[in-house]
Amino acid sequence: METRKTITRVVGFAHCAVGAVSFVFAYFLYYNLFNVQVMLNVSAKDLFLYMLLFIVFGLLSIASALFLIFEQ
Amino acid sequence: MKKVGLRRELGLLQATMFGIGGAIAAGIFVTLGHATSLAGTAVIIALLLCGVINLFTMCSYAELGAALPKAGGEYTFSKIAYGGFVSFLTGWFEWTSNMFYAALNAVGFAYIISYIVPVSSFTAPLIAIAVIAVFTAINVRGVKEVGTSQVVMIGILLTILLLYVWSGFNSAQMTALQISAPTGPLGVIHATAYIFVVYLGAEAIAVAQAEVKDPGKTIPRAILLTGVALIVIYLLIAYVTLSIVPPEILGREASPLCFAAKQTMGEIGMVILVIAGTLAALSSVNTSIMAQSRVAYALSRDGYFPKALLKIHGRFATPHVAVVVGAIFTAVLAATGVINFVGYASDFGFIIGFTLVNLSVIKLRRERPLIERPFKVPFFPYTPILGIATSLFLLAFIEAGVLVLGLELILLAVLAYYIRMVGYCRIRIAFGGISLSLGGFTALTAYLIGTSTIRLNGVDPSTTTAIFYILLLVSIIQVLAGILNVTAEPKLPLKPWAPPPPRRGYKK
Repeated sequence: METRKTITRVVGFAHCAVGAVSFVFAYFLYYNLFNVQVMLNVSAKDLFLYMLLFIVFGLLSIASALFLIFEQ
Repeated sequence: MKKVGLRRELGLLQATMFGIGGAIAAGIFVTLGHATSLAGTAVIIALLLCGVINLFTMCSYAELGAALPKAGGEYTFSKIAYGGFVSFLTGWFEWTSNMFYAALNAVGFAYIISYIVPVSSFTAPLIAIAVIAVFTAINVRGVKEVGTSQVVMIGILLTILLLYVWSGFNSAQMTALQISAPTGPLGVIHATAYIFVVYLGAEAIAVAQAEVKDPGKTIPRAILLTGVALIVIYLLIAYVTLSIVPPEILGREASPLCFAAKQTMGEIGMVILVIAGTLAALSSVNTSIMAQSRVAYALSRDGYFPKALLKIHGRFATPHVAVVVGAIFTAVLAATGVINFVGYASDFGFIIGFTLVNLSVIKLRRERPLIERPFKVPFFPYTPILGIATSLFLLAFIEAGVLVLGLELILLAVLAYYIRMVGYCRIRIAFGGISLSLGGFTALTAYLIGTSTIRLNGVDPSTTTAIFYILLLVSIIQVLAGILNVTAEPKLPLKPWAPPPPRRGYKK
């Protein structure tokens, strides 16, 4: 059981980090940092859709991670 | 083990400063111009109307705050009056509105300082996040520190505003003010709905009521003092500004107060007013962070939000987890920089909150007449009914887009309430399933990039390979998280909060 608990915690934190990175990436996309918009072929029209996708991805990842970190 | 709880450390001065600090935000520095273009010099009447409308509801806050001085403000009132979804909705609006309001003022701070320091569209959200971080630390440190910082900031802000009024009255440019409404009474009503935002935020006293000393006396005094002080301050500011700058010029100015200060005190006047604007924004960030955390604490106490938010810091006696979690959401909102969205969303939430508090006063007076009430709303039930009618009337004059935003917030609340009621285990399995799907989707994206089906513009092959491996790792983490969530041992669902059986003061 202890091994499962440890694995759950580690995966939880990694998952949370993935969610956080997704948020940061949405921010990079909005401000076109490191020319991400050109790299991903994102037009100004579709920008908000992509941002929404990354934010939703991040939110879901963090929510799922919180279940693992704070396992009851 | 010694039980740690919230401490009653706020006196009348600190509580009043919470109210004034919550209300005097960046709004008054920028909204007066547009309001003048709507109502002409009759904007003074609009400000007075707003103040009176605000006082109707402040009386209800004073009665309930003195009678039920527990953490949570409006949420606690509606929980005792209605319970169930209505109380959750009140708490939800209070929580989200305060986060929106904190984000709005943090971004507002960044824009105000751009008058004297160069701020780009990229650095503005970063400055806002830094401001939120600083006030989160102050809020974690202790409510006394929050109160002290509030007294200092509002003290300086009021001094500057008094200086502005005094210099205006002593200025050679001061002319006798003729009150006129070029667009008629409808223009005045539109201006009233538009400028009402400057009075929002004063109810922060009720949110911190669990930390106010001698609540029976202090809370009503602080709330009513704040309501009256705001009317006097705003009327003086508007009178001076309109007497110095003609309304047709004022309507075109982005920051009318700074413009008027430049006329009476020169460049230094403008700088001083910018400082006042930044202090107003900062004090509102401070108050809103405190308010959102106390509501989250109360919602958590009643089982609607995760129990983790209920933790009280052993040394500082503050709900530090609730402060930090709310601050993270606020920082994300501030990082988007969409100032109009957060502004409108907070207005809608506050006005709905006003309506629910007035309804709670009426219901509790009828159903629990024996509750000890150190302060009673005068002219009951007309005052709370007027509070409800005028709040809803103002809502009707707000832009249609705001109402759509409000409906979206209600839908989100319904979703959150439903998820909470479903129970821990089922939600966890649902999130496990979502993680598995996201893992599959990420693995597919990695495959498409790895096989060059999706080409990344201007990225060399080695970077593409690195992106492929990163996506593969993310998909593995997602799948593992999904499996762990889906295969978690089943637990009994947490019981949702249910209103306690009626006891003292219940009318049979």
